Amino acid sequence: MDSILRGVAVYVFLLIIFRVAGKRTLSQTTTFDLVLLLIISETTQQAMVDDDHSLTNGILLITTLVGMTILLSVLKQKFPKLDMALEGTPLILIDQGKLLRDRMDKCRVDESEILSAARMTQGLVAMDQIQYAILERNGDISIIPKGEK
Amino acid sequence: MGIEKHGRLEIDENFQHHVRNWRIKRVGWAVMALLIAAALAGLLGPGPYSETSAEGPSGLHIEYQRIARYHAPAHFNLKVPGGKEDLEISVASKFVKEIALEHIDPEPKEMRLNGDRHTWIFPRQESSSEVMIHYRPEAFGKKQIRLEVKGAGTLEIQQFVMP
Repeated sequence: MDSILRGVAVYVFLLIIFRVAGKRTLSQTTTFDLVLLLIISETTQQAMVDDDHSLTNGILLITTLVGMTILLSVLKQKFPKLDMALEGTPLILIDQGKLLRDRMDKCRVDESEILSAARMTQGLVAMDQIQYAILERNGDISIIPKGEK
Repeated sequence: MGIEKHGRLEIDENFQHHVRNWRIKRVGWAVMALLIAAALAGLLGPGPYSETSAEGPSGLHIEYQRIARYHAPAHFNLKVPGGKEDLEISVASKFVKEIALEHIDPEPKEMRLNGDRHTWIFPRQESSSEVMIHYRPEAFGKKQIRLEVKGAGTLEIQQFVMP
């Protein structure tokens, strides 16, 4: 029973902390972010598994974690408000060519990141070629170039 | 989640939700900072607030942690006055049941069960000496621990074990 409760507690805690940290925090995994993620996973694993290295415990924990994910996806499907609270909604950063700076500041996105997304996804070279830039729910920036119908 | 129109763009943005979210995030960051500050102060485990000591009758002295953590190392440092007879330290069996005893330093020469109490017996020295009991809590919550030292009295301490 212990390990299941621990699994649920860790799951809920991670859900909250990554929501509080913001979508952008670990969305673009740099080498350092990758190392950070590995450290977080190691710490999480120790808190969940504790001293019980049995196969039963492993199976129970995996079932709990996957079960929580399934449960959440069902709940999110049923209650759109929960989905919005947990996953957020997309946010427009450039609206019809106009940079919305206060929004960019709030979600810690700067022009260079938008330009980088524009280069990588659309092959654009300048800000004035961008019609819309949107911070998506998964933390990626999507770019819609001007003149696209 | 309604789909809104921004020029040609159809999007379920719900800007009010973002504004709310930013506010909640700020609170979340404050909570994270508080959590770290509390941990540094020793409110959530080992640290300045947690490390404490208590005096008992006739020179008994104990150093312990007010706040310990589940399955994490914890210890008592018990200073006892010198004497001629063997030193007998006893604790309630319930306490022993709720911990994993790692080791006692120095090692007791004998262990005895007296009803519902565990007794550790050490050869006594003339001068005052120190006994260290290293353990890991196996149950969480508030614990009332009574250490009895034969001939010297009783020490009662409280410890909170964090999950």
